[in-house]
Formats: sequence, structure tokens, C-alpha cells
Amino acid sequence: MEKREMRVIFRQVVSILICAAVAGFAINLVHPKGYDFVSRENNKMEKTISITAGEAYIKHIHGAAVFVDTRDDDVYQESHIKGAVNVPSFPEPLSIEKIGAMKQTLFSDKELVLYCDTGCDSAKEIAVRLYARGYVRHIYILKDGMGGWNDKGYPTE
Amino acid sequence: MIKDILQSDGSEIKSGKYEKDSMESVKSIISNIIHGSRVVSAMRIVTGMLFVYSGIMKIIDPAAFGKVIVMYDIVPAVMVPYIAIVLPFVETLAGLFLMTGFRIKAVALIAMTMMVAFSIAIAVNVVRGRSFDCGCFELGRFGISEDVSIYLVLRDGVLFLFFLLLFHVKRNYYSLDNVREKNGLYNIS
Repeated sequence: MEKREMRVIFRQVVSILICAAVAGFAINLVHPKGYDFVSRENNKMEKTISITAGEAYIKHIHGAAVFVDTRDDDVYQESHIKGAVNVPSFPEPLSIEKIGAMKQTLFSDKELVLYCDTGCDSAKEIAVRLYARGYVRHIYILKDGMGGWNDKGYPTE
Repeated sequence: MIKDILQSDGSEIKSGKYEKDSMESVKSIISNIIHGSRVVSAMRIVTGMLFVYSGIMKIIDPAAFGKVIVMYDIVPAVMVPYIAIVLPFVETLAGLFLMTGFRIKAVALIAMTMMVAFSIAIAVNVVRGRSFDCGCFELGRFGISEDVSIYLVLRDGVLFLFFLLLFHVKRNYYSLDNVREKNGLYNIS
């Protein structure tokens, strides 16, 4: 193939890609299901919402949320909220691997309720990792953790 | 080389000419394909229609397509919206150009790049042992499973070979490129 012909083809490829990009961004401006591009500062805004055991229970009985236990595996095995899945926050590589493996469950249409023990940070750590991996909706964190849930006598397994 | 074969009545005939003829016809079929046949052109149009269909379905719901990209767990999260917005339009434009036979070589080059990228993305997730709808041609709506698997890597490989063929084809029937060439306007771009 001649050099000149290759140059022409390359120019055509670039022009097609530019046309597609322009059309894509233009349609996105008015698309009801499009994306909003926000500033990085805005993006870092706290998107986690703290909820009480009672509020979480309402989501639980309606099956509206996936409950994620962020404690270690052995603690999870002892007792956890009925139907909860386990994504431990430590060690970090294992945690990230587990988030990847459970993407279908975590990134479903249901809301996410994260919990750990009372007064712990692992639920927040998992929330940060989920946002870093493309989760865009609000994440609910159980305020008093597993202790608050147990105090109310809500179902565990 | 001349081989002897047996006729049905047991007598031998020299089949050199026969063999030469069959070789010639195979050569002519291959040369037909490389230089462009109506079958290749028809396949180009069908593939174009498939691209347009899947592109439009993704344009209708970019958020759902974004979710599929997230599933692949390959590109950084910050890139997802950009890909979800632009890629469906690349696909649709490529499909339209394939259908009409406009800028075929350029589109074949874009499609080949897409097929390589998709194959790698799917293969990585097959190795990871994950299974989810690949979001390729939106064929799930017709009950055709498109879950990430080795077959999809093979399918994209076959499509890659087809686009490679399209890139090298000399004549494209039913195409605007052909009309331009016939009118001696090929060098005007």
C-alpha cells in the first residue's frame, strides 16, 4: 500500500473518530440518561449516607438493598445480617479482588448498605474502593454497625 | 504432477488436466474473494447493519452501557463516561459507512482495532473466571446469549479476519466507494 494512500486512510479514520466524539458529546448534553461531568472537587464530595438500624431494616424487608459485611471472614461466618455478602476491607489486595469478583452483585440495581462493627471504619474504606471502581450512586452505611442491628433483634444468620 | 485415478468401470485415466482445473478454480475463488466478490460485499452490509443496531441500542441507554464497561474492570472509572458516550457513535458511524460502502478501508481499520480491544477485554475476564453479558451486539434481546466466554473471543477473532479481508479487498460492490471509483473521483477526498 502506498504511503500516500495510508495517509489518506489515517486522515479518514481520525475524521470519523472526531465526528463520533462530537456527536456523542452533543447528544449527551440533552440525553435523559446521559452523563453529567462534574468537577473533581465536586466528585470527591461525600456520597455515603449514614442510616440507623431501623431505616436499614426497612430496606432489608423489602429486599431493596444488598447488605455488605465488611468485617473479616471469620467474624462474618460467626454471625451476620441475614442475606449479607462478605467483602472484608483487609488485606487490601484481597478486598479489591473480592470487589471485582462480586461486581455483578454490588453494581446491581439494588442499593448498597455497608456495615461493620460499631465504631469501625472498614465500611467507609470499602465505600471509597467502590467509588474508585466506578460506583456512582449513594452508599448507605449502618450507623451503629452490627451491634445496633443486634440490639434491635433484627434477623441474622 | 500427474496422478492416475480409477474410473467407475475400472479403467485408468490421466487426471492431470482435472487436477489443474480444480487448482485453477480454487485459485480463482481465492482471488475473487481478495479482489472483492458480491458475497463479501453482502457480508459487509449485514455486518454494517449489526453495528448500526448495536450502536443505536447503546446510544439509547449510555448509562447501561457504562455499567457494562464497569463490569469489565479494565479501564479506570474516570474514563467510563467518555467511552460510554463516544464508542456507540463510533460503532454506529462505522456501521453506516459499512452499509453504504463509504470510506471502507478506514472503517475496516477502526473495526479491526475495536475487535482487538474487545477480544482482549473479554479474554481477560474469561481468565478471571467472570461471567456477565458482554454488551457487544445487544443480541440478548433476541434470546441469543452473549455472556463473556471464549466463544466470544473467537467470534471477535473471526470478525477481525473479516475486516482484515475488507481492508485488502480491491473492489466493493454496492458501495459508494465503487461509484466514486467508476466516476474517476477516487482521488478526490
